[in-house]
Amino acid sequence: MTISDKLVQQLQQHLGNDNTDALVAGIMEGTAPSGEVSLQGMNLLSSMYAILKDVSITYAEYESQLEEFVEMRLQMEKLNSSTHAVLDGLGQGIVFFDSQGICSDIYSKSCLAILESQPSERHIGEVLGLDDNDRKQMQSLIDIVFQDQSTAIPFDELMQLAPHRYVHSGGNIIEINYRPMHDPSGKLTGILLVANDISKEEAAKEEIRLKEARIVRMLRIAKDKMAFVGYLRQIENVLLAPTVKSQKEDFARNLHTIKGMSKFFHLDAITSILHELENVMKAQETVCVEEMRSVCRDAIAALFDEAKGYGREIWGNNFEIQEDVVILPVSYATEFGKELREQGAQGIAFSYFQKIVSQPVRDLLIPFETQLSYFAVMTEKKINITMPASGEIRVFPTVYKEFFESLVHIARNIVDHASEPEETRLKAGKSPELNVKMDVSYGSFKNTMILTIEDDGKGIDIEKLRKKINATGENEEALLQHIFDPKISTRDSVSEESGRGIGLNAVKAAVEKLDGSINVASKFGKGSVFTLSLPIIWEPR
Amino acid sequence: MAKLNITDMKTLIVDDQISNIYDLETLLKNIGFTHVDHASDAEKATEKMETTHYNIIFIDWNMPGRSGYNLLQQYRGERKYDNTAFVIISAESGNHYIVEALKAGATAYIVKPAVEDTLKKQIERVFSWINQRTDSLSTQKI
Repeated sequence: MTISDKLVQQLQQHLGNDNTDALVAGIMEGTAPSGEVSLQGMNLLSSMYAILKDVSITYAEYESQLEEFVEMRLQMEKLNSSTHAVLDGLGQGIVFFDSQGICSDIYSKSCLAILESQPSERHIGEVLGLDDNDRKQMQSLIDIVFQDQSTAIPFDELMQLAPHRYVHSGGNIIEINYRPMHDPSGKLTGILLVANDISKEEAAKEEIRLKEARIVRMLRIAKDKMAFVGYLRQIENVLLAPTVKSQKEDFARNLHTIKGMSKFFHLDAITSILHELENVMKAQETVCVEEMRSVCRDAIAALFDEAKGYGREIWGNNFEIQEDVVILPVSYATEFGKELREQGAQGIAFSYFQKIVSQPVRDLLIPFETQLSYFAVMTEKKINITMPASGEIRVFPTVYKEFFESLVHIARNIVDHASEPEETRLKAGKSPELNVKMDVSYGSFKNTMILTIEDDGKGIDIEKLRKKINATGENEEALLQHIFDPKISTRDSVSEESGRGIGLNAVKAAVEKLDGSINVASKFGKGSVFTLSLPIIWEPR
Repeated sequence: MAKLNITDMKTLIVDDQISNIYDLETLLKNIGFTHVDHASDAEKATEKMETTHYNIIFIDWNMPGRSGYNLLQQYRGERKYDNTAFVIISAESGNHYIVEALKAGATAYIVKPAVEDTLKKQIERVFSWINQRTDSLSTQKI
């Protein structure tokens, strides 16, 4: 047997020539001329085989472990990019920094927008745009936090001393929070900074603040009409259209009073202007009152109109020239009238009921107006309501109680059926909101009144109504009156607010109980008008 | 090592104003402390600290002569006081002061005037801090 050359070469490569020679010689030693390898040779061969086998096992292990390592590395990379994806997806500026305050290269994309820079490898103080002193202070704080157990104060409280707002160049409001990062043994290894852009929330909060301020303003104004009307008159007399020439001292004193009242009514814009004016006057040696007036006139005039607007909202038009009112329960007033009658003063009693106890129909329509507004708000529809111009016609309220209460059904019907989508209205040349106009006037005889409720909405679909009630013979006018029938409705489905169709019937019943009449006219696409004719009654029945 | 009870704790108040000392002492006794010493300046404090090992030392930040801050800086490094809590009591509430005090080694910081609830909360924290510290020190010795 010979040992192949190839094997010899390999052996020489790895064991060196001398060793190879010795090995070969050892193997060949004692080999019989017939080629049988000696026992010694066999032993050598088998041990060589064992060594080579070990080597190949180790190599195989290495190879498979290598695969594992590569796999692990791939996993790590995937994890890394997942982490990045998660961080980026949160929409928050997230970055880690260590005990030196240096930011890591793991940060969310949002940092670029929220903190306006790339934080990696930079000091967190620099990233937050702090000046030198503040930056040093922040690092001191970081040192304290990382010094294990140096203080009894917990992490959250300590971090209260760190900046919680970032000053964004675009004016966005950025809120900063901190979280500790611990390793499995509980040791602090880093701090996580989370930056949120809360501009939207802050804007919403500001809106709420303004709304609440408005409510307080309205309540203050509404509480004392006399005070508010007096206040407006003062502004007119002192600032806008003075009737008497004023001395500087009087002017200054009046100005101060008006300023105080403006503050009370939460009319902040007026308060500021007057405050400015006072400062200017204080600074000047000589003051020309006229000059002072002209300086602020335009601004004050605009705010004055705005203030009057509040008054109108609360008390109606021309509230400034309305007299103060005495409020009595109707039953109390009625009792007195009865007393007058019992005393034999019929004429006076009649006059008393007609002029004193009766209330303007316009005022009795206020609940109806409120209902219209309410239903509009509940169904998110826009509505513009015009009350009757005159409050001259008055009635005894108790007699008409049921009638006015039944008007809620008309309110529901208007909001539900007359409303159209804004685009439809605009296309038809109408204003974007549904208009509802009320009017009260005398009938042909002064003992009746005509109340009209008109809208410029959808109108009634005549043909649909005709089909619904199967009244082929009737003309349009007569047909329309069927909407006052019980259980009639041209709606296909019953909505929560309306559609059951018995509402208008209640109105008709209440009107007829008073010996009145009700009628509806409508043009599909243009609008509808309810005309109610009722007797004018001043006295209790 | 057994945990310390509040009644076992020795406290020292260092303040130049007797009224402040009185107020704080009353509060501490309400909370349950029985051993409350006081010193009106840094020197007297040092004297007392030499003879008694205090668990909590309340220091007023601004004192004429050697300031409380100075006192804190001196003792904080010493091993002897590793499980003594130094609580700074100061009228200054600015972040700057608090950070400085903590950096110098204050265990807690209370803004004057000390209110019982706040004081209680801080004392509780200081308490657990002392016990934690005492535990870790004893394990270190082993």
